[in-house]
Amino acid sequence: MDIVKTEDQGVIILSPDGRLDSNSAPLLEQEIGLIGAGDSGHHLLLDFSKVEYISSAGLRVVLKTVKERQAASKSFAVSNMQDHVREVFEISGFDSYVTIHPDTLKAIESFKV
Amino acid sequence: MIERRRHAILKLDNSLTELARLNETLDQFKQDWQLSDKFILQLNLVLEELFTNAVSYGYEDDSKQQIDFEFRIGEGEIEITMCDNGRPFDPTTPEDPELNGPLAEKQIGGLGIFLMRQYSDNIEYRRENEKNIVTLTKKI
Repeated sequence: MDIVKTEDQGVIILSPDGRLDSNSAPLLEQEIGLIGAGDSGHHLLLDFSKVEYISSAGLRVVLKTVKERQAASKSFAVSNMQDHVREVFEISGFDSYVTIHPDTLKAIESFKV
Repeated sequence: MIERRRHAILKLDNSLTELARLNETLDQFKQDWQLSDKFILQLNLVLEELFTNAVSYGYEDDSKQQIDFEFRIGEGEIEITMCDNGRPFDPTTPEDPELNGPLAEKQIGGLGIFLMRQYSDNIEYRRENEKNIVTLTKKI
């Protein structure tokens, strides 16, 4: 899985490309871990636009991130979810723990408030 | 009319890297059996959770083992049987996890099994000849 990291207006955006399954989830976890150590002052956005599939392994990484960011009083959100990914998120009750933005711009705006 | 294969067998090693082969097989079914993207994504999720569970918790050591899948497509539904020789585990028994409790208490444990059940229509388990045999059906 390729994970593109960009920065826009103080927001670190991680864009994983591919399937977020038991194989690839540890890579995303590692990438998020690096941000925690380095750029701790930033907002973090997980851009799901190129993720068509997620399993509980991917959800585990999201939950871990939500907990860590909240414990450190750092902001975190997700965006651009495709239908299947969004449905799995909602069925699992994750939409009550993390804000899902329709697109990257709206997510960045929300961090500014 | 072209006769399509209605039955298929997939033998995987007990390694998570085999998920790629599972994924390829399901993509092939999508074409052969004209199934929707949505159906295949859901079926993939069900089978990944089942397979990952068997690989991650089924075995004492790292020795190579085989996990077999058998697929049968019938009128309006697909039936899949997974057979592994790992330690006994019945995926029909665990209780569903708490989904909307406080964040601090939110656990990931059990979520895989929960998702597997959500996206299946029926799941049956039996232990036979030191093997776990899970049979599940999903409506098309």
